[in-house]
Amino acid sequence: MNSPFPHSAQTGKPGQPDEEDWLDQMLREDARKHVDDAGFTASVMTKLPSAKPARMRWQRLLPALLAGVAAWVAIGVLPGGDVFLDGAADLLAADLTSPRVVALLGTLVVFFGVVGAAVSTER
Amino acid sequence: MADAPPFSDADLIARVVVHDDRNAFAELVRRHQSAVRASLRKLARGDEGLADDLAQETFLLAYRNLAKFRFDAKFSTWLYRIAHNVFVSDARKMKEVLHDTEDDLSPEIPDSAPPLADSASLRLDLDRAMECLNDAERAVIVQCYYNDLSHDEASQVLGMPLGTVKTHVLKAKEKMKSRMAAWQSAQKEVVTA
Repeated sequence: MNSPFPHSAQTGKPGQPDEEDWLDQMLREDARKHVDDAGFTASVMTKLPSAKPARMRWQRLLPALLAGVAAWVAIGVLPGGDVFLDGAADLLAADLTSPRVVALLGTLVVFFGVVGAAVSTER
Repeated sequence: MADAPPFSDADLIARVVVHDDRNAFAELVRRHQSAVRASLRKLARGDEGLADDLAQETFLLAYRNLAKFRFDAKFSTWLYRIAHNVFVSDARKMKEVLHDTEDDLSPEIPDSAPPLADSASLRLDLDRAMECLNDAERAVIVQCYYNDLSHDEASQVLGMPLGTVKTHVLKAKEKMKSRMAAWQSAQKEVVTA
């Protein structure tokens, strides 16, 4: 006896032409109906997040530039800036346990971390 | 003169990802809205408002995740997977978890439902016949017929084993045929009476 549902074992797609039955045909005919857009696309587009404004190259570099200026002010201008220079000297002397070296390294880690985060955000 | 060849989906996706080209995304929505909305309408049992809300959410999710699309499947298949996940997520929120139920848990449609009179109404009969399917069977029919996916693609979209997809197709068609045959018999009786 022929199975009324012969399709799936032989092919990957149900209802191939040579084994299509009346229900396959009805389903496929029903599936061919087009749903009119009727403003749907426009409605989706209004819900998209607002576009990021295009930025100039100098704007992309601005966070890094500001961080550099801030570092220069901290080290070269402010009264306590000498601590960083002394720390650098200690670092060169390989005294890694010095609190000043730790302060310097900590500051550098934070600095490059912030710059890295700013740059990756801008991409 | 022939029109210039349209951009492929891949071209449009690249424009959206690289340049955030909104017109390119609008074209993608225009191309695929019909299939996505039609299949969601079937999944949502004809609730067009709900289906369109879910379709909108589908496209918004697609937009947000477009950079993650790896072209390892057709864009449409990727969209159908998102649409199905959105539907399932919504159904869970509504306490209607997609479940692979036994037949006795399927929504009951009385066999005595009045048959529709003419062949033009067969489509309505088809919709009514689909009411007798459980969620998993309905999802498989939608993916295989309305989204025109192979069993293998449907199994990927639905996250179901291939064998389960095939079984659901068979069972779903069997149920629909028996339901529609019952209506046809009832219709003949009405005509002959």
